[in-house]
Amino acid sequence: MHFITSSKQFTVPILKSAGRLIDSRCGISCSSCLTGSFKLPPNYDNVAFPERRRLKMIDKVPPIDPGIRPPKMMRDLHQMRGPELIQNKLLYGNFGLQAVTGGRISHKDTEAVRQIIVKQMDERYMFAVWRFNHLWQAVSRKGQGRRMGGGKGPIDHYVFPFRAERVVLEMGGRCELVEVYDVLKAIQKKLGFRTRIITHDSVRKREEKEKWVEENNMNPFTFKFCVQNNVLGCSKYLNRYDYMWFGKYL
Amino acid sequence: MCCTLLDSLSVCLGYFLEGLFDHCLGGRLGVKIGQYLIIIGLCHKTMKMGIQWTSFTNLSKVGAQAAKKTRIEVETDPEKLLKYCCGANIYIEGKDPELKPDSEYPAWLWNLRIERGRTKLSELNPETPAYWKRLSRINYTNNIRIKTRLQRLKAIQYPDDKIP
Repeated sequence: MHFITSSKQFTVPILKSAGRLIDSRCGISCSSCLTGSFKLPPNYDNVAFPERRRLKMIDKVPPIDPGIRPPKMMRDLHQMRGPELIQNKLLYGNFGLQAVTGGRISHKDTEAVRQIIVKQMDERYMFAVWRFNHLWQAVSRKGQGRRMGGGKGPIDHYVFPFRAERVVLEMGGRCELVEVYDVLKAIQKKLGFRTRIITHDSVRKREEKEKWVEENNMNPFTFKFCVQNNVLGCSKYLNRYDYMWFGKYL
Repeated sequence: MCCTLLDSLSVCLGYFLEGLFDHCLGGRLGVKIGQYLIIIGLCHKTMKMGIQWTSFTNLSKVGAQAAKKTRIEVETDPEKLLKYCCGANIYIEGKDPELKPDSEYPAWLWNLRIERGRTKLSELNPETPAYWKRLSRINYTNNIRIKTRLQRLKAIQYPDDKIP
């Protein structure tokens, strides 16, 4: 009876006689003592379900005021640079998908994910939520075969840009990680950027480990050291973002 | 056995719940509590008493042709509730039996558990075998639930691996 979940496991000697389980501590001789490995059941008293358990359908086009021509936007690469400092923790459920790098979500991605959730999630016990409301950044393209020039092309589609370590999707409810893991794994394959499956525990452990490594690192020859001391003239090949995050984020 | 159990049950129900003895099903007696129906019956093979919980709505569908059910209103008069065991009379004739003073009834009657559902695991004492039996039962049912769910997931994700 062993599972991947990180709950407390303990063994108890149990005597089986006449179809009844009896604790061996009650004084009966232990000739046919059984040991069972039991896991304390998780407490689901405080599980709060959102109104809609399935994923919200995300529109192709964001809500725009009528009468205004939808504005063409710049590429805004800074929206995908560096770490996300606010939306990097779980809010609604116990499990989630966190982006490893910055990137963009398109309407195609969201639909693929939604279909997986509709098919594979059990709505009686679980729920899933997006951690963003709508796609807002307009991406313009020139039509196929057009000559260059003539100004900026028309809007092709909309995307949602995010920074590294942003939680994109959350799942939760009265369920354990083993039940959700395969669904999240299937979603990971569909998404166009790298993600990691997180729980409350894993986020905490990761933070602790990073902190520990930084404090106890005995090797002085790190990327940070090289950048700060311009080892072998490496500043020639660096940009300003390397000075900000020292190779951790792009 | 049957009478004493019924008596004690009805007394409890008369006090605390909207209990009504308005079901008599083929030698079995039913007690209605909310939307549930407890069927108290005698197993002919083992001659043992058994209590069964069934949903009230499900049962009404089956027994609809036999007799049309009448819903008796719940007694709310406190004086009557204190004097009589309301709803204990299952026949058309007669009245509800009068309640005797508390001392006439056995002491265990007043210590009966009246909350709905099983006792929670946290309320049980880990020193008792009941706790460990309960724990093993919870583990067993949980494992089965997870196993069936994983099997279903696998069937969706890898439909080609299905054994014919």
